[in-house]
Amino acid sequence: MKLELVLGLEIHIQLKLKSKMFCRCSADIYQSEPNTLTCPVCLGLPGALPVPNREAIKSTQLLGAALNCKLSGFSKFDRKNYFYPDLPKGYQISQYDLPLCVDGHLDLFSKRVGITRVHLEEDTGKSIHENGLTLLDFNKSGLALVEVVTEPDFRTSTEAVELSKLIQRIVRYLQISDADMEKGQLRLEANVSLRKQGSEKLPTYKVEIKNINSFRFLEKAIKYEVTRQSKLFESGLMPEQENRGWDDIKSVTLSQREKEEAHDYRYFPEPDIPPMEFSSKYLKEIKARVPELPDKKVERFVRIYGIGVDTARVLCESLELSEKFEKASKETDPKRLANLLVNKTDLRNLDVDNLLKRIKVKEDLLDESALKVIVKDVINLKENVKAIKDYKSGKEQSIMFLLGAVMKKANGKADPLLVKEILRKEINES
Amino acid sequence: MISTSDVEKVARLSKLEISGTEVKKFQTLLSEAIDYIKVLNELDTTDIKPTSQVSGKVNIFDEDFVRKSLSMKDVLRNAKEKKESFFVTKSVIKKNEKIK
Amino acid sequence: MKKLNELSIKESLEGLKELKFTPQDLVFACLDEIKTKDEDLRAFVTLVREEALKSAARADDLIRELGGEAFARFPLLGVPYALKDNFCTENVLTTASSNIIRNFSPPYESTVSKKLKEAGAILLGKTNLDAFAHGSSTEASDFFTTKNPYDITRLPGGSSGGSAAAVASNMCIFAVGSETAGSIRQPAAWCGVVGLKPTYGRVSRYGVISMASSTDSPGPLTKTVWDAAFILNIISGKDEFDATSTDIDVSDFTRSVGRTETKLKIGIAKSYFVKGMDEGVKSKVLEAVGVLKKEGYSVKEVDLLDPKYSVAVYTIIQRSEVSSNLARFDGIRYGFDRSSFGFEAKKRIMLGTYTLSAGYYDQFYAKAQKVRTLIIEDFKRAFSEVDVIVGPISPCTALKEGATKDNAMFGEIQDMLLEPSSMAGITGISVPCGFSNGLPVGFGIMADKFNEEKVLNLAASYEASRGEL
Repeated sequence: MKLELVLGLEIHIQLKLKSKMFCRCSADIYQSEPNTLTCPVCLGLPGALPVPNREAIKSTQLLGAALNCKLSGFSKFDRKNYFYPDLPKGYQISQYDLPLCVDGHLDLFSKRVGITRVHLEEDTGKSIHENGLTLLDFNKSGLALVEVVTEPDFRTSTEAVELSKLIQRIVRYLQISDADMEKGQLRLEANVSLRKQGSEKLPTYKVEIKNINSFRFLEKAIKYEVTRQSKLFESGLMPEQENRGWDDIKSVTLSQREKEEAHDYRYFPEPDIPPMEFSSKYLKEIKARVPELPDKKVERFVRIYGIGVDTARVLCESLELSEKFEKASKETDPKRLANLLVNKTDLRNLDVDNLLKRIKVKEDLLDESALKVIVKDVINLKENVKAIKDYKSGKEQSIMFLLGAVMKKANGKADPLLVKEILRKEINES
Repeated sequence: MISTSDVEKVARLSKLEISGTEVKKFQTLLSEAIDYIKVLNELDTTDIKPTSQVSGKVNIFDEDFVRKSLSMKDVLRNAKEKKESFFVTKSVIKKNEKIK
Repeated sequence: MKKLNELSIKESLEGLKELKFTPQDLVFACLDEIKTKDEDLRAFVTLVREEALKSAARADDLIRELGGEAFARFPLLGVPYALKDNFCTENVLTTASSNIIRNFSPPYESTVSKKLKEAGAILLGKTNLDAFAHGSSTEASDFFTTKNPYDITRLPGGSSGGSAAAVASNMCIFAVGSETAGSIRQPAAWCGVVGLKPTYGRVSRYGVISMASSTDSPGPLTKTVWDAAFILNIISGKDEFDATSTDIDVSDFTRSVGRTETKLKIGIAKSYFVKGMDEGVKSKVLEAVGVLKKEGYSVKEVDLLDPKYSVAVYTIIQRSEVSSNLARFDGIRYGFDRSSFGFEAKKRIMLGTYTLSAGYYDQFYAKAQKVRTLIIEDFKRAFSEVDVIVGPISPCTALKEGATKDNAMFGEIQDMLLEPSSMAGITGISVPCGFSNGLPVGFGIMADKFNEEKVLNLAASYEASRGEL
């Protein structure tokens, strides 16, 4: 029986805001001392109440718009009830049946992937396990977290990685998150199932893979799961519906078996936060704020500047670089500029003015054929005969004298390294 | 009458430890309450929208600004167990754990 | 000649302003009364004697320094009060009368107590309640039961029983409580004091240990209606820390007290005179209606939904929200582990979890939310015909100790007449209207949301016509 992969992703993105989702503690938690950025609200003290961060909602709607979602005119928060030490209230304020954005899509190179929903919630605290104890730091508790859920449209792990990277790029373009996976600002979960190839029906089970913190591990984890599940099918068994964690040391997924009822989150509308209503005028304004996204930009660069797709992709990796390129292109040859930026990565850090200066220099430089003419002239000059003889007899530094002569004749508009090369060639051939 | 296994399941979901004698007691008390609340079935609520908010408000947001947090001392002061700057509890094996 | 602790807020402020006595005199008088009576009544969980005396000394200095100007800046300067122990008070033990947080010292202050402090009021101590406010008798306190000052074999009502008893026995000048469904008005009725439940959202809930988030309303328990209006001035208002708090502005609620230009239209609901109601309570309430009629008020019958539906709605919604609100008590960041919950708390958590769980949500929680809409519309319709609705607060007078044990739904059934108004979030008051068999009876007045002025106006009018009890 030939099997095919049915894969969906859940992507969590930590928003880049000044404060947390439901309180005004600083959201700048990276490398902060434990338990120094909390308040009664994010610590879950009795009597504390949540107040939503307006910017978090805007950012979520902006992302939804960028993902071609329908932005909900009416939305609310709900409580997701479960117990865990790093969840201080014993419930997470999230969104259940009326999320901020629904029904979107993203176009990959090879296909269109459905985006089921984009919603907003709060992050949990951090737990560190050591010696049978769990240490808890609540600085991370309450940070604004956006969750993007895709349709199970992926059929290969490559597609999943491609979409994840694209979402990372989009989120950075929108400037709503740094999405640095190493800092936990972008987290991936994969829902993996298999079915008979050609079947249109959704599988009756799905395995949720968690604890994936790099694109490489996403690929590996999916591939491992496919193998594991295939083997089960071959033995006539059906994989269990369960949560599994990716173990990056052993390179396997491990079962995190739980009682079935642990998934009964008993969602109900959050009574402490009034619901949200958005006018069509407001939603139109949000949609208008979506900038040109990476894939569109690549397409446009290829079209307008006549550069290759791969070159364009490199230039569009970051919003900053792409904007720098466009600005500088107004004053110089875009193709040359593009090639330089792609090949000389150190140039990417220059601001537009300095970049243009460097390019001007290169543009004014004489090309190889013009230099050859000058070099030939210089070698044939009587005053340089001695230097040539010296160089030929092994005096390496004599070439510097000749180099100086060429540079003088070229009025400084030559690349010294190239001149040296040509000199050596011509001298050896003469 | 709600079953004892339902009572035990609810207790697990609520993270409450119920003794053997308490299970029976809860069975009775919960069943009585459930019987009473069934009176709502006398009312026709088709096409009626649910109310979860009586404040009548919508769109109550805060601007994105920073307020001073509690000091670590205040945060930890009521903790049963602490270790340096952390809260401490016995380890629980559970779901999407970041083992770091 | 009244003892100082027997004064109302109005009388206290008048005396302080006229330098007839000092804040210290007031505080000492209250503390003395507490010393004499509280061993038997057991209204207080925690007393803050030292801090209260210090505050009194500071208040005294301010009055001497600024004279009358001091009261312009601090409207409650020097007036001692008691606070229900489910309000977080910074560095002062806050227990919710529950074993699970019997050692909790909050690192922050509730908005209500902060406002009272800033107004110059002096906290005497934290009062007893049914643990986590789950109850209507104060018998469900994990620590001890408060007694009714009129009969110490009887209960003060609840959950703000400690606050009601403290005011009724003059151990303080006023008290603050909270009502989820009856927890201010019912103990006020059983203890013969004024209890005001403001509109939901009128007073900030920040710092009040949540019971049912969608109905909890902090409010005053006082000796007179004017006092209640005055406290409402201080504690009401939009709070940036409470997203459900309102910004509907009212300058001065005390101006409603004493106005008699237009007579409010009064409604009375037959369905609230429930079967099995105490005859003595019924007659006292009808007597109160009679007093108002004599003053020229028109009283007409209005149709209101049978309160039994509100009991079901309230039970489901309250217990569901309770089961979630109490999930934060895991003993890690504060308090003890969940085995320390009292039986009543466990009972409510269990039912709440059940009604929210998969397979039952639609049948119970969703259904309850829909009936809640019916209740709200029911009141809207009634208030289009009348300005206020009057009736009994409790179907009986104070019950004997032990009455509430092993009852599946004691609290919810006891508060049957108060749950509709709580579910709708509207405002209501209980005003003493006499005695039945020597025990106090409360007269209830309700008005539509944000119409506290109507409630206070009629309550004050009745209070004046009623005369001394």
